[in-house]
Amino acid sequence: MEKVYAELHQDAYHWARQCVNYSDEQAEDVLQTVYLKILNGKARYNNRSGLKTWLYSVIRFTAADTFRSTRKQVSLDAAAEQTEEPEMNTLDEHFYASALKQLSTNQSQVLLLVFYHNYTLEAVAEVMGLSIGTIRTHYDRGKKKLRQILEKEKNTTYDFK
Amino acid sequence: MTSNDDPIVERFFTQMKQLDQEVPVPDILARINRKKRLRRRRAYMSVVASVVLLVVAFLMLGREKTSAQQEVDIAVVEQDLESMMSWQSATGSLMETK
Repeated sequence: MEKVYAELHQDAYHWARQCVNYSDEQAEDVLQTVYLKILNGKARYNNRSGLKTWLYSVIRFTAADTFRSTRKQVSLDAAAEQTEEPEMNTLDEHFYASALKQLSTNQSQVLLLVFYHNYTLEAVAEVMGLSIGTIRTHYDRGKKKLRQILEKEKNTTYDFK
Repeated sequence: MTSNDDPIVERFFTQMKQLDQEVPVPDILARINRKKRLRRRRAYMSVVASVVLLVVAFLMLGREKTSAQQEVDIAVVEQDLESMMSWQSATGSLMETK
């Protein structure tokens, strides 16, 4: 656990934030749940993949669980709360998040893992528990769609040449 | 490795990464330890509270027992007094007849 924490905590936190739509509070909760799973032996590393790949996979599944339960809770609450956006630290962050939000969850996660976390498509397939063919499709379509979104933004305040 | 041959997309993620470096990373392990410590302290406090309650209960039970014992003692003395009085009156009446 100490090794995981010392080496991967920072990256793990950013990945957790990306999995819960940039909500700091939810990212902390997800990561706490993940670390407790590891400490209690509910999540065990079996050397089948890299340590980071395994940790990212646990974070992704835990975030999906948290997101599902939050959505259930939200459906019981007022409909107005459903439209609430997670608080963003800056305007720039809001731009990045909203650009990625226009992609499907799988597409944005594949692109984040490849471009942001420097994963190979094979490793992405392990993290997401999908076949390499499916990952490649998400990668190509996501990249194409994101490029279109960014080209649209070209003439606004953000310049992506 | 994938062929990240898209400069626009690459630049987007590079800038995003740079921006994320400013985001403070919370110490989750410290948070877990803090919660554990709090839970342990709460458990310790509940044990102490139950021990104190037990001691108080025993003390009160002991006090009740001694007061009950005192009542028994008074009854015995009263009985003794009564028998002494009756003996005295009996001897008094005998003296008078003599």
